[in-house]
Amino acid sequence: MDTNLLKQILPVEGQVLENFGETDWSLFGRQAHAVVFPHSEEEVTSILSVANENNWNCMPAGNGTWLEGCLNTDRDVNLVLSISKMNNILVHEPDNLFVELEAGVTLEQLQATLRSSKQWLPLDPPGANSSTMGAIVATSSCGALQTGFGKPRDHVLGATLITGDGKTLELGGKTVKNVAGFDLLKLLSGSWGRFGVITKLVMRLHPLPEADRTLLFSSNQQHPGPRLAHDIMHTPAMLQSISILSPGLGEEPESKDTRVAVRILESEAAVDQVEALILEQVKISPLKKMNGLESKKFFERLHNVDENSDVVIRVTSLPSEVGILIDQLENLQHLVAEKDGFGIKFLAHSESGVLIVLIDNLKRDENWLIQSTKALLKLRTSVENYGGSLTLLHAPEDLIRAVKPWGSLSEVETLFSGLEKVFDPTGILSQRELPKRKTEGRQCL
Amino acid sequence: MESLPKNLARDLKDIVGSNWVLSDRDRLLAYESDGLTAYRSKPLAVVLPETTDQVSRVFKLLSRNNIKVVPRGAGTGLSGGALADPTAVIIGTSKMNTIIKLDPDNRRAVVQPGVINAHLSEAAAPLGLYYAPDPASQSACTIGGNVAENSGGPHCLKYGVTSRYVTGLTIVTYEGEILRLGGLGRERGSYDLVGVFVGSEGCFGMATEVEVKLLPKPESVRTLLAIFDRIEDAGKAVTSIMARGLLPAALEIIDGATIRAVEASVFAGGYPVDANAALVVEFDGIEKGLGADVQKAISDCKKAGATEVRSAATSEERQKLWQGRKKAFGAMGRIATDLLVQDATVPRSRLPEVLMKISEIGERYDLNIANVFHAGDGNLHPNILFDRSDSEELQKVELASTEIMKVCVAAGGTITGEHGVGHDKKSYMPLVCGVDEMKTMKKVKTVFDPYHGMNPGKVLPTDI
Repeated sequence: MDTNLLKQILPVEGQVLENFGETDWSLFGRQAHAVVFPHSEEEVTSILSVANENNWNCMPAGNGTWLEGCLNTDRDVNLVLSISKMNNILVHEPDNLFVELEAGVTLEQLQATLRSSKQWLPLDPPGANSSTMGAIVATSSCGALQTGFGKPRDHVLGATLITGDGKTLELGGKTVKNVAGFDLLKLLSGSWGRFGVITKLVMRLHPLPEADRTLLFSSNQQHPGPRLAHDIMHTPAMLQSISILSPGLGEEPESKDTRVAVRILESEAAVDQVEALILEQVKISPLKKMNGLESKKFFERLHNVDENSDVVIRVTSLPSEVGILIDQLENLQHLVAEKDGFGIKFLAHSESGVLIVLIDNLKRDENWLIQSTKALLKLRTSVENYGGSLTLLHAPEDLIRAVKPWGSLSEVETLFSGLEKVFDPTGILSQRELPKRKTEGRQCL
Repeated sequence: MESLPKNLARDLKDIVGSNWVLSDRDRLLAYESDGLTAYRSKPLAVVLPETTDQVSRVFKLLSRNNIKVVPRGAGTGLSGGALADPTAVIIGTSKMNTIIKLDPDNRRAVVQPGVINAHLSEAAAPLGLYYAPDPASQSACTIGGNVAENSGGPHCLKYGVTSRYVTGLTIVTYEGEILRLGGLGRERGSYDLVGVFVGSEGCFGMATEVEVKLLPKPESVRTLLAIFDRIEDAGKAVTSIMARGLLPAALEIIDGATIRAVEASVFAGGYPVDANAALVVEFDGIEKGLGADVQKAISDCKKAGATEVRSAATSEERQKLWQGRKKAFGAMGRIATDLLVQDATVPRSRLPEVLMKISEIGERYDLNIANVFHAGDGNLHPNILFDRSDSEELQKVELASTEIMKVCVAAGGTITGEHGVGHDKKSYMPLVCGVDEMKTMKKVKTVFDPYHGMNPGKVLPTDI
């Protein structure tokens, strides 16, 4: 690969990174030929044009915090294209509740800017502080707040996408209501860079809530975590997040109990009443009540619970089935190397039906790969039998290769591959592995 | 006019039953237009299936015979999206009106596409739940139609439009393939096929089962009606309310012409007829939080120049305050034979200048334009009153509409916020989309509908 071609497009020192060793930009210890940092949409377009002409495999990225996520381990990556230097907030119109920004802006940078206008973007994905907005949208990353505010797709009003074949598409606009043409914008969220490089975003904003309160409940035999969360969900009020935390993820690391954390984001006048409704619903007292900054910090800590995990899995199901799936995690306990008192950890956003499973110390004896593969595939089958899914978000390369990041796609694979060809006809962006068809009967809702 | 070949009529009747294939001219009359009556065309036939399997078999039969298909809900659409040319067959959803599942444990429902929007909320009410998107036509429009148009409504300011609530779909493609997209907790792969299907205006396929999220009914609702001498002042009140961080469930403006039309009709709600604007402000949520919000909104309205602010104390009073907004379109029938309900969106802060320009356009073309709109999210509905038997006036309506669209786009807005492009606005698409964007849209349609048999001639200009 001739990186001089890149240097002609990107003349500023530091825009083309080569020979960077085993750093944050390496992929399972291997290197791409280069990492490039364009400063403008024109540079992104030129890079993709050169990549097309030379048939280079390209991987769009943000700050590289989740570079190995859903990586297609069978393909070499020639070029990582990071939009992290395109990091300007372009327009913020508080009266119209939107912000237009370059996709390399981090969520932390954005929230800091919005705070002075008493506004925010209610998203809390894993690794929120350093993740770029482009990456958050492309990977559809979200956390506990998805219960009350939705996923990234619900906050994106507009975007600029440079497709795999170098076309610049301006999608959506600046208004909340916009049905002019087919909603291609929705395809960006969860596209994992397969459709192009997101260079600009227009995001819908919300007023910063006056009160932030978290109620932390302890589960017990009468009130197991999933049951408690389920009861809370049926409080007659809009709750912004309901999370079940396994032992090891709560406030006190030594606690052996599962906790349920409920976050209330309301006006000062309403927060007490919502709390009263929750307590009336569950009829037990919270272990702890956190307000303001303490409440915010509690949830911020959960953004990084997976940073030292060997394996991170996302399981989705109907909210009412989360408890059944948590029970099934017992079948993974034998994969944990040294019982640190907790074994398998999990964090469930129960009303959204999302369960994040963490294995901090994966056993690495001679049979580890076979055992881990078998256990995860068995769990995936079980989850899929419930109509849910299991996605391997982070794991050793061998395990990803054996289990594959995604489960089966069934009948929509043709649509997936058709869409990829629309946006990336030569396939230079197919570094992320997406699911393939497994022959099976059609399901009805 | 073309007629349905006899053998095809027989085969269709074998699938759906002999009563549910309509092909004689009189019965087709009801299907010659949707809510946008300016465009009319009788279809080749209308087929009314009852199940996903019947839709699949009907589509297979029609696609093999190279006959195009136009899905249609209740026909309340306002962009000519359900208009079928004489060679196409309309597939109506009026018999697909079953609520398949109400699942309070997971706060979701699964419905057939012909279920009427308001009926879903009524069915969910005993469970303390409701379906949030509430188009003005919610007592007649169908969930399937809402999916096709990505419909909004007054309360979408706080709660968002249809796409926020659709979690899963069963669709049938033109070739009759049954596909299941998404589903709550059923994340297969990462591409948002449900998201791109919602709002595709029947051009990708037909939804035959729709899974939606339901919300808990808010504990309390408070409604205000503020009266203004100038519409600009009502706009200022909206900006003040939003700027201070309040998030009402609805913020709706009714202009003077509309107030007078409603007050002269059977729908009169007691609005002062000399007013030039009325602003409906509604808050919902936890009772204790509402009082403070309402006081702040009253203060903002008064500061902006409201001559009077009324507050509803009972459900009946609340209905009355909404009367001018909800019955506006019906009341227009008293003052003109035809009504074109336009739809465009602008950033909220640009509303005053855009309204002024729309007024100028009306004067220049000598047309009556009344405005009723979702002010909170900048979604304008200029209502152009006309007589379609007057060809000169009809031409002026088209010219004025084009100018209104251009004004909205120039203000940073778009050509449709909730009614869709359909047949009516496809010529305006180049105002908001470049050629590459439109070509990409066409290619995405082709992924779902390779033979372009679904709802032909809609959304995209024909030369794309």
